[in-house]
Amino acid sequence: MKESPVLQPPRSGRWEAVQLLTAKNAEDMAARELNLPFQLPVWVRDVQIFQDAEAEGIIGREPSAPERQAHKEILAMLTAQGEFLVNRFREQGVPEQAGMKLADVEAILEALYDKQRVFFGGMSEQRRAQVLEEVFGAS
Amino acid sequence: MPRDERIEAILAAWYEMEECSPPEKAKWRDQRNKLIEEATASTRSCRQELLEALGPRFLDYRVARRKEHRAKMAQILRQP
Repeated sequence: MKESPVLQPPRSGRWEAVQLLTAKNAEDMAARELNLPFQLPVWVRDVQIFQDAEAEGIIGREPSAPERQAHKEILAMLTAQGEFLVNRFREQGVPEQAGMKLADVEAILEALYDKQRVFFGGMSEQRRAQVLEEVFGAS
Repeated sequence: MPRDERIEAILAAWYEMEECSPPEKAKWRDQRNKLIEEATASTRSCRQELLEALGPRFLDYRVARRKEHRAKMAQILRQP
């Protein structure tokens, strides 16, 4: 199949970049003088970059062990950062300039928890088939 | 609604929830969860279980939708 003309970074380099960005964001969030209006768009951007890396390097391919581990670590970091932001915004409200509501931030966080369930939930094939049959009936 | 159409509707809303712009996240999350609540209403399965059970299908669906999107983008980039 012909590749898209859009240039893509190598898979391992992409994960390294996402890891660096997420770690930098974690560092900023731990800073004494936290800039919440700045942290939200940074986190949203990191989640988007993570999803792109996931779509290119994890889904539909056989990722290497380090790639799988990087995916798991970054997902955990982004989820923790999201929890932190959502808790702050529940107390203080979402800054107006963010252009989004608290419910939108919560939905992004919920999508990260869904990913943890999908990738690391550990449901057996037998249970999966049972649930799908119970809910949707036999195929 | 037939089985495949109900599954497709959930996967489509889930995909939009992940790919839409930030101010639309809650809208798509609510849409997806509403479809899941309707599907699981008279069963013993909960939303979390159904999401996990649909997980592999969702990942395949996501790959297919992204491929479609990239093909469209490539076509646009090739246009003079």
